[in-house]
Order: sequence, then C-alpha cells, then structure tokens
Amino acid sequence: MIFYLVVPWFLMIVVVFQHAVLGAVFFHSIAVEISLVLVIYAGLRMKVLRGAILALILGLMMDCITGAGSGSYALVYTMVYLMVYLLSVHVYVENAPFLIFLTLVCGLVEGLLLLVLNRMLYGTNVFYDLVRFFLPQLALVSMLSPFLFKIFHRIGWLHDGYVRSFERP
Amino acid sequence: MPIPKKYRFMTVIIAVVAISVVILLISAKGSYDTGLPRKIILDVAAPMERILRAPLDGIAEIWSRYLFLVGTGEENRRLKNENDRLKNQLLQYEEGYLEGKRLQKLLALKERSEYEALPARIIGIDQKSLLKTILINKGSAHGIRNGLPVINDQGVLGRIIETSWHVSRVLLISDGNSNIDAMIQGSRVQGILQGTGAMRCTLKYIAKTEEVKEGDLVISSGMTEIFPKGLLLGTVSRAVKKAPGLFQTIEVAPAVDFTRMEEALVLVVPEVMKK
Repeated sequence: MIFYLVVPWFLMIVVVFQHAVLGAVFFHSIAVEISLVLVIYAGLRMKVLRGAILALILGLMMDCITGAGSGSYALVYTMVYLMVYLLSVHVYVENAPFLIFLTLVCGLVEGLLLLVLNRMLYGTNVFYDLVRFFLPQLALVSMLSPFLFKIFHRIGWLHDGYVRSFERP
Repeated sequence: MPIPKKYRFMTVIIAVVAISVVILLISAKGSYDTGLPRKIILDVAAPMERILRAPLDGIAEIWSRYLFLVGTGEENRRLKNENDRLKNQLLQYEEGYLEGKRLQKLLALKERSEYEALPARIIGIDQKSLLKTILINKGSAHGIRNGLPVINDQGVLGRIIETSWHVSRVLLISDGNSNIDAMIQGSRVQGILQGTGAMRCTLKYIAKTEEVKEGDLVISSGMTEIFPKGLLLGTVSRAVKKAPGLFQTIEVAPAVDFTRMEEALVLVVPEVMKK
C-alpha cells in the first residue's frame, strides 16, 4: 500500500530532479532521462501491476513537467514498459553491456513513438530535434543505466523484495 | 472478482494503455485551457524545481561572473564602441520621435497602449526536450492566460501556452510549433517566423523577388491579435535564393539569448479592451 501512496511523489521528484538539476548540470543543452531507465527497471524487476502503474504515472508527470501534450509520454512509457516486460519473461538481464544495449533500443523506440505521435496528433515534425538532442542524450543515459539500476534496486519499496523469475506470467 | 493469474498481465497492460490513449485523445482534441491535474502538478513542481536548482544557479553565477572572464576585455571595448554609435543614432531618432509627436498632436491622434506589462521571473528552462519552453513565476492568479506574448529587454521570448495558478509555461519562438506574423523592418515585407527547434528561426513565404540581406531586423507585424506590432524578433543571419520554389530560405537569429534569461514581461491585454 505504501508503494501507491509514495510513488506519485517519488516520481515527481525524479522528473523534477532530471529536468532541473541534471539539466542545469549540462547547461540546459542535454537531458539525462533517468525516467526512461526507471521504466526499464520496472519492466525488468517489478511486479506487473506496480510496474505498469509506475510507467503510467511517470509518463503523466513527464507530460506535465516538460509541457508535452497529456498522454504522450504516458503512452510511450507504457509501451516501452510492455516491450521490456515481454522481454523479461524470456531473458534475465543482468550484465551491464546488455543493459546499455537495452536502454539504447528502448530510447530509440521512445524517440520513434514520439515522432509518430507528434506527427499524427499535432502535425509537427520533431525529427530534427530528435537527431540533435535526443541521440546524444540517449548515448549518455545508456552509459549511465547500469549505475542507475543499482540505485533503483537500493530503493527497497520499489521492488519490495520481489525477484522476477523466468516463468511466464 | 479476482482476475486469474493467467490473465493478470494482459488485463493490467490493456487497462494502462487504454488510460494513456484516452488521456492522449482528450488532450489532443481538448480545450485551450490547462486542465486541473496539470495545474496542480505545475504548481507543486515549480517550487520544488526552484529549490533544487538554487545551489546550481549560484555556482553557475559565480562561474560566469567571477571565474569565466575570457574575452571580457575585448567584449567591453566592442560594447563601448557600439554604445557610442548607438548614442549618435538615438539622438537622430529622438529628433524623429519629437517630430512625430508634434505631427500626432497636430492630427489629434490619441496615443494609446493596449498592453500592460507584467514582470515575471524565469524559474525553469527546458530547451533540451521536444518542446522548447520556459516557466515563469506568474499564473492565472495574476491575470495571465494562454496566448499572451512574453518579451524581455532584448526582444520577444514567445507566448504563454499553459497556466496554473502561480506558474505559466512559455513556448519560445525557437520551438518548431511557434509561428509568428513577422516583417522585415526596412523593406516592410511580411512573412511567417517559424522556430526550427535549435535556437534558430526561419522566415517563411518571402518571395525571391524581395531583397533581404544579412543583418536586417525582423519585427512582429501585428497582423494577429497575439503579438503587438513592432516587437523585435531577431536578425536575418542568412538569406538564400538558390533553393527551388517561389520563396527564399531565410534564417533568423532570435534577438533573445535563450541561454541567459532571468526576467520577462508578459504583455497582458485587459479583457475590456479585447472585447
């Protein structure tokens, strides 16, 4: 129960931290999207319900704090979560290189979905922005993902001692 | 009724994706005003952001003001020269202004300004995500609403796209979603200034027959109700006629340095005048 009470506030702090603090560290020119790594962590290590709710709320927080249309990041993050979860029932991701690769793939999927959503719903082409800002950010966050995974794993209430097995749900 | 374990995963995923899609569709076809949940999150997140950023801003200020002074002497010399040149220019313009005032009086034209400037502090900058926006510390409680123009001492920053009670989000003119009716100050040729997303803008729909050169000032044309006429938007940095089609490719450097913004003015149009 504590999870559902704490998670919105925790996620808001995560998004504000990545937006304000990490943004300022890199002179507002690059963002370290730790929220994406958190979604991947949820897909790989957390229970279905908890992970899905975390991805949804995190997406909604991102929408509000970055100014994107409501539901954009929410849909993208839940899709990434779904993709990672389906992968996690077949593969137990533990080693750092695979985690970096997975983050890179998920980031590309996120970028592609944002590109399509923006084109379909708002008629804007964000391809240039994605190439210029998103790819360097993705490279950076991918390299940091093993380290971020360790940090998330230390937050006990996130996974509540649950360890994903190889069994299908 | 509890959901069987076999179907739990699919049920949860379908529910979560459905919620996201519904929210997305509502927001895409929704009203112009900011929704209540977004208002609450904006109002809660803004003070958090300010607190978290305060130490970093302090360090950045010390760095830029006291430590990183490479080229300051050269810049100082250049600014002094520019200042002398502008003083002379100002004198000439003052003469013209006084003449204009005399003529205005003569023609009994009533001087009026429809806008009230509301000062605000910039509390958040976001230029690294898909939407180039800033947050200011004034909201609907101070009379701000969506669509109002925001400027600073250098020129136009953008327009309000989202408001909570005490915080507003400004879409910068460099964002790809920003379109402003603009004109070249000297030739009065009109076009649309669109952001490119990378601290640059392009001036569109200027025919190849028009003479546009580097350094020309681009100002708002006042054709729409959002931006009043004559606000400085930027300077032409490149004009190319070689591209196929009827129009020139004109790149504009925004007048505002988006990396160094602290305060802004929101131009509020009183409702009575709008009606």
